[in-house]
Amino acid sequence: MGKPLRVVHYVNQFFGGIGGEEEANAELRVVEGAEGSARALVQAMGDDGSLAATIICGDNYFSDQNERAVAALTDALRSIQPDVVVAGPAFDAGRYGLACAQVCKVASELGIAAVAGMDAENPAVEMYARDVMIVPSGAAPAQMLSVLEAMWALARKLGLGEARGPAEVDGYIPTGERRPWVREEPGSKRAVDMLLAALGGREFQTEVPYRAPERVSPAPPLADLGRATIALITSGGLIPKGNPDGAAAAGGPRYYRRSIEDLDSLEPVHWEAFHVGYFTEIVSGNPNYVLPLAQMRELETRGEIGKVFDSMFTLAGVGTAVARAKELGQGIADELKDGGVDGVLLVAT
Amino acid sequence: MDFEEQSTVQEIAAGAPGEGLVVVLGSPDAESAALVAETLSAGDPTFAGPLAGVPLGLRSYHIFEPEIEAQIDGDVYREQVGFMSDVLDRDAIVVAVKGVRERPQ
Amino acid sequence: MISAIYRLPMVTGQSRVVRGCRIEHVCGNPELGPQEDLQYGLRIVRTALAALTTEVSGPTLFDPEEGRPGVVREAAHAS
Repeated sequence: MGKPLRVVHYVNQFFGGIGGEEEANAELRVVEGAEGSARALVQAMGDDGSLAATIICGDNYFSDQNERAVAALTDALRSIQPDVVVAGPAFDAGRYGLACAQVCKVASELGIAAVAGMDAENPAVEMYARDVMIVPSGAAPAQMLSVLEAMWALARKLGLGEARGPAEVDGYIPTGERRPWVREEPGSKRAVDMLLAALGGREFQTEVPYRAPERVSPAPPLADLGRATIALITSGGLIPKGNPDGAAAAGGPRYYRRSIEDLDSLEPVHWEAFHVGYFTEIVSGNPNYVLPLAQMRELETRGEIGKVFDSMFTLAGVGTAVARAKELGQGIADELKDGGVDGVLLVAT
Repeated sequence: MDFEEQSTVQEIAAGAPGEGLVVVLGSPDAESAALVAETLSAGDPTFAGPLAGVPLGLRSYHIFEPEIEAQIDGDVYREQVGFMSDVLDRDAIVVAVKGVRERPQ
Repeated sequence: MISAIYRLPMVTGQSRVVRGCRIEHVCGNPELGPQEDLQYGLRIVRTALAALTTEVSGPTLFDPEEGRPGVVREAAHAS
């Protein structure tokens, strides 16, 4: 029985036990042993792994001070020299997912095996699945221990220097890499079995998953801004104060069209931000930060645009499945077309 | 629930051992309700907070549950809670909280 | 789209991406004081409107602060 692998666990400010969104600017720090959710990783690893350190970093710090964060991370990994790095799981948190994936990329470049965990719909997956081992976690933090167990199974394999198997066997999101592999039955038989299943309306597992990259052609530029009607949209979760419509703070699941016809600005006495994905206090103090109505009215007065569209569209975008987001976008687009809108400013948080 | 809330409940529970302390929740959805109920019963399942690995063994009910509603004056309940059961998924929430509470220990 | 984490919309195919200030205050900066904050917000919005009038062939970044004297732009993501 070999000695336990040396492991470093990367977590954000919340899962590191520092605090919530208000601590998202926390500097990257290295703590010896297990902090926060790393304690669950210790349980998952048993005798096979020993947690050398927990690296905790605020999601905003990692994003805004990226060069500094990466430098501090690199120093830490060079000094600790772990056998494997585990990052997350980030579940459906976009900034955290991006950080976890980048942490793994940095580790790989230093020759250290690394595994990240996050929901398959996390926006970071599209960006990093080709370069980073990502174990799909689902979106429920209550599953932390079982997710870490799945991540550890792969991390241990890679940490021991074993070659990884196919994505469906080792439980990671496909990287797009294809390697020759021997299956139990000849291709002719497998193809006929699949065809029979398809004809019989039964489920089958394709061997060639096709994921068409969604590329939307850019809309042609506006010719005359001074005569254009511009609409404002935000995914930052703006709601009328008190949330009379019971809007959700995540996942859409629908958008709201609100009249701004008689407003010169969005006042905090009438609006607030209701969104679980970012620290909303600043926007609730000045909603124009995510829906720039005050700024646009100024430009409208000066004649730099024709007019601001009479309605704005809002929802809390965090954690919305891509397919659903497409439907919502199509719905908003239809309303914009009906309203004779020429251009749109969409503010994301 | 945030870390401060976890510590606060931990202190309250420590100060009232064996007194049959019960938790009443107002969480707006099944998932967050179950997470709080789980945290206060078996410990923080995310292991992020002070109650990681600390099972307080507290039983949680939701304000929507009939056992709780029965103890509150009808007019007060209707005024303070009534409208929320139209907006929120009442059944899913109750099932979730009950599920954690009635799980064999 | 106006976003502080601009790399993400660019990677997922958004054609016209305008760099915002920070996630918690995309179209301005409360630390600048009300006058400067509004001026900054106007720069961001004007940049976005200029993007709408610009021909693009794929994901393109429009930075309201590029070339402004005394402004240091740290990358939001190192690649």
